[in-house]
Amino acid sequence: MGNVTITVNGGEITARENQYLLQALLEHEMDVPHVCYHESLGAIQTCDTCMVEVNGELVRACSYKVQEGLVVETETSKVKESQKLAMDQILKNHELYCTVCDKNNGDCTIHNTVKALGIEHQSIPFQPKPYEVDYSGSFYRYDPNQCILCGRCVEVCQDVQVNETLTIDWSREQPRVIWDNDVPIDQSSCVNCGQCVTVCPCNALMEKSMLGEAGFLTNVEPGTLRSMINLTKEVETGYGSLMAISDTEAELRKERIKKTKTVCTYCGVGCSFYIWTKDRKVLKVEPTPESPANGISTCVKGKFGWDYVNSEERLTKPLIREGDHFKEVEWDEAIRYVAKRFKEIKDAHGPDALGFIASSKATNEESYLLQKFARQVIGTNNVDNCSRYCQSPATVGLFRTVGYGGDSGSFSDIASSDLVIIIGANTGESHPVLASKIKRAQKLYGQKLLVFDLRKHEMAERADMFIRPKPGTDLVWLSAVTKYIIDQNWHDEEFIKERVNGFEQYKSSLEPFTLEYAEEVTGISKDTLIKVAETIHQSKTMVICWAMGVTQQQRGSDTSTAISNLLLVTGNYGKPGTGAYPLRGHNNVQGCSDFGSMPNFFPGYEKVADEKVRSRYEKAWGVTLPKNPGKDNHQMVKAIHEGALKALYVTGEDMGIVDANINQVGAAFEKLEFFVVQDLFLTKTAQYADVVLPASPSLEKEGTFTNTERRIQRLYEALPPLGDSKPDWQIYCMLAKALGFNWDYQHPGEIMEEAASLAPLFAGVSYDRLEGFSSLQWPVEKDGTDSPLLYEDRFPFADGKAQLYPLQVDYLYDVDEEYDLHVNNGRLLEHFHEGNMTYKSQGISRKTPNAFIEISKELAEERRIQEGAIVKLISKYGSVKGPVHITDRVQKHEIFIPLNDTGELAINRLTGNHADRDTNTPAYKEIAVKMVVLKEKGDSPIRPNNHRNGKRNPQIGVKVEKKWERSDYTFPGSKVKIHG
Amino acid sequence: MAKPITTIKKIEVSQEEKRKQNLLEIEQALADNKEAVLEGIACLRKLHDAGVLEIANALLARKDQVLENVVKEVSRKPNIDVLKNIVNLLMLLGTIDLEKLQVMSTRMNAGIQEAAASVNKEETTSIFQLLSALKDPDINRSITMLLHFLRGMGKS
Repeated sequence: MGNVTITVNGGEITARENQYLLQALLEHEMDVPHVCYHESLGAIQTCDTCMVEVNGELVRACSYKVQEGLVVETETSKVKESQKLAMDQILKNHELYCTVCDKNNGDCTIHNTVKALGIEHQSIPFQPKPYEVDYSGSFYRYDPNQCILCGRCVEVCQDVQVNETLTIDWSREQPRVIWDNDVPIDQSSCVNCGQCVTVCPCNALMEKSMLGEAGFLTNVEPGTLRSMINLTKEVETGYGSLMAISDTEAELRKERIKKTKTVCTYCGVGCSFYIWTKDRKVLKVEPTPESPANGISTCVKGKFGWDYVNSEERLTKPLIREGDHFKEVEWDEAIRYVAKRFKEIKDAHGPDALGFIASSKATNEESYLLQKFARQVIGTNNVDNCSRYCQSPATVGLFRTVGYGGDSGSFSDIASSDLVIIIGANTGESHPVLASKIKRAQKLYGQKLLVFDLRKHEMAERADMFIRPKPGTDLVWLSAVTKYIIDQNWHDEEFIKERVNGFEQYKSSLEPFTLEYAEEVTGISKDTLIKVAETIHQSKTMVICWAMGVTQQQRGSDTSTAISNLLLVTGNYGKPGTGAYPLRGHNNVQGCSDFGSMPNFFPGYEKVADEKVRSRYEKAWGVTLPKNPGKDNHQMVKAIHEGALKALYVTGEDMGIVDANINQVGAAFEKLEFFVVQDLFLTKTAQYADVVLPASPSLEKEGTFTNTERRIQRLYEALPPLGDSKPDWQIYCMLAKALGFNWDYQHPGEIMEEAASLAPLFAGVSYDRLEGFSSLQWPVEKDGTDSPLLYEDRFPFADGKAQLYPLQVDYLYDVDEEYDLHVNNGRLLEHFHEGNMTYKSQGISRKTPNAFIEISKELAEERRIQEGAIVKLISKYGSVKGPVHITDRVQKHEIFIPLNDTGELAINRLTGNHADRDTNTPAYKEIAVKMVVLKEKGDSPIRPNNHRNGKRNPQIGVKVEKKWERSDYTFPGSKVKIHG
Repeated sequence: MAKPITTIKKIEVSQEEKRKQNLLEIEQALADNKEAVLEGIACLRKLHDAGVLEIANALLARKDQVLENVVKEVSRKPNIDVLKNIVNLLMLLGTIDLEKLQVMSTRMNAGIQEAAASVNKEETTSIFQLLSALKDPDINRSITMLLHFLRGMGKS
């Protein structure tokens, strides 16, 4: 799109051709009123307030496309009159009682537009609508009486979140927003992402946590409030004085409501937003268009799942084991004790008798400090983090082929790609905000979506092709499709010649992967495989997203490698809209590894075995560092059983639940001589500890997180630490000091400065460059240049070329006659991980109180059980028990269990000890079980008000044409012309 | 052999100790804000003497009822009119152009001075004198200004 010149109010401005006029005017800071238009939603065309004159005609500026030579007037009396007529129509639907409204925080679009237009009186009086306020949902309420029917909520629900729950029923005498086919909010398919509330221009949709809390005068009895509203209207002679008073009240609110920028602590998408707090109360979460990863989007956890921060169960004092109980102690006693025991064990058994596990919930600075603690203070490389449980295989696959262990591009590349392939990832529930971007691209812009999964989750339902391979066989179909593409001569010859090594050798390694062989092993028909290859061939750009369905297998690293091979062969690296996207599961699983909490790497993935690198750290830290790689999580547990590892220090990781084969992990904890756990709660793991140190969560500290896009973002302290809990970095500092190292960091910024000075990958990272919503995607050069898209010019190998990596198949997992059912497991949208944060949210728990066992209709019939039956599943390693939900999301003899349970249905009671051979990542997804029926039927474990029981109502946008067709609608422009 | 345990023995802070700690914090705050605290006490003293504190306490204790009563009372027609008038008066004040008014008032002051000086003089003015007085530039300016004022005031 080229630039064109248009005339506005006599002066010339430059705009982009075909850009919407309103956008162009706003970019030039020309104030044209607008209510339904939102910079993140575009033109909705319901409010008619953005009328301007173009070449003498009155038009809506929001949907008028800019062309060369337009003559635009925004200030004529015709324009003003039509804008006022439009606003009159809005105010008919909305009662202005700003001073006693919880939305009066300076950001109410209606308030601000009335003020900007200088409207003093309303010619059409406000009329209440014949509908009740809907308070039924967990987190927000809808007041039809205040709703101006702008359709922003519908637009965001249909086309941004793409949950497709909201519509406006224009056919009623009094139109309103409806949920599904007009059911109460609580009974609908609404997933509580909260985006409708975020974009609502007034108080029609409000977070329940704001009601009666935000204003000074809003928490009064309903009757009195009503009288006050009436009085306000009686007395105030025009809206001008109402605005003046309410603006003053809004100013006063700023004194007691604190707005702090933070980064979400749940998944790896890395949503950032303002969190509004009043004392310790969280009033609301406000994402903004400048949030780099998410824009205005959130999911239910990030928007509403913060109750755990103020939970009564939070630990507020250090605990020391004393016989059959813990006793609370002060910090100095706890630190002295831990330091003494660490020293005794180190003196008696050497530094490698101690092990350290960092938290992917904690900040980059905290990961940096813990690995520094292990290496500098103790002198061991026994430090690891929970990415061992999930993402290490993906990192290995990328190291082998392209060089960087992270997503090759940004979310914008995923959204703009022609083809998205998702393998073994339940993106809709595990990375909801990223999933929305894919759903939108597919719904509105024709992006193709291919999903390979055992389970028909939401993305599978939406996919253009949904393919169910046999469990654990992805490596085979990936290789077969790659081979077919090469055989058809569809590979990107030029790209391979210029930028890739090892093609011939790789090509011959593919010999065994014929379509016939693949069909036999994976169960995917030859025709389907050919269709997949053709789709890839026809797409100009392709991205592949994958997650635990790939990595938590015994061949996780190899399958990840096969994905990268396919991308290399088709030339899908280094240009916009391409690349490999191993979707990181925790807020900081990427950063925790990046900043060195790994047994073989310093920060920035530099090998501890590398003499040159080690001497750099030795010089900076003033000690001799161990040169042999340490033990990973898995090896640590083994070493405990063998008696080699005596002490373990775990930060923010419920290993006793999330590690595979927890029966064995628990036994290991019991064998430890000394065990320290640092956490928010007395988790299952902490219950084994000798010392428990109370840590502070993300809202109570500063630091940075790195999301799945390699994007480093700052978080600020919204609340002071609860009780005597402390941020992890401060605890590490106290311990280092007690052991004779003068760690004197006053602020996490100083820790980042040190890390950046030592690790070339982060050379240019600094807190100044990360101020507010600014972010940096590594690698970051010294001058601050970051890398939203990797490999544009070279791959980080000696000759700058990528490497194709040959693979064989020598192992296949399968069920057997006795253990005849395959158990799959994964996340639910509304709960996170083992659930020790999200179960604290009453609003979430009332809808999803516990985990369940999903079985297919076939299996239910075969075993003669019905919904709500209670069954026991027995594997070679243990058993679980729980209620049955029958669904076609799973098929045949495949079973799914959400991993959010710490009790009888904790998935890791079933998992065994096998692991990916390259990374020791447990093969969580390879579980064969047998089933014993305990009860044949019962109450469904899915509550009636769970969104999974709702019925979506898909359409594109708000269908404004239906509004225009109504007999009571007139275009304000035409009215003005009739009068004028 | 560390078996999992869940009981926590809290640090028992005795009432006495808690009280001591609280008093210590208060003492510290007082010492840090000496001036403000003393001024505050003086202010409280006056509020107390005037009985304002007593009323305020009573009002706060019954705030829901009070607010309801106040709103009810204020919502009565005559009171609404009073409020309306106040708002209108404020609006009226807002519309007066004070800068121009200041020019006028300086001139009026000068006029008043002249007039005050002539109060005790036994002086009369005939028609003829009045007409020839128009030739005096000061008087002519005044008359012209008054005529303009009359025209402006009469405008619909």
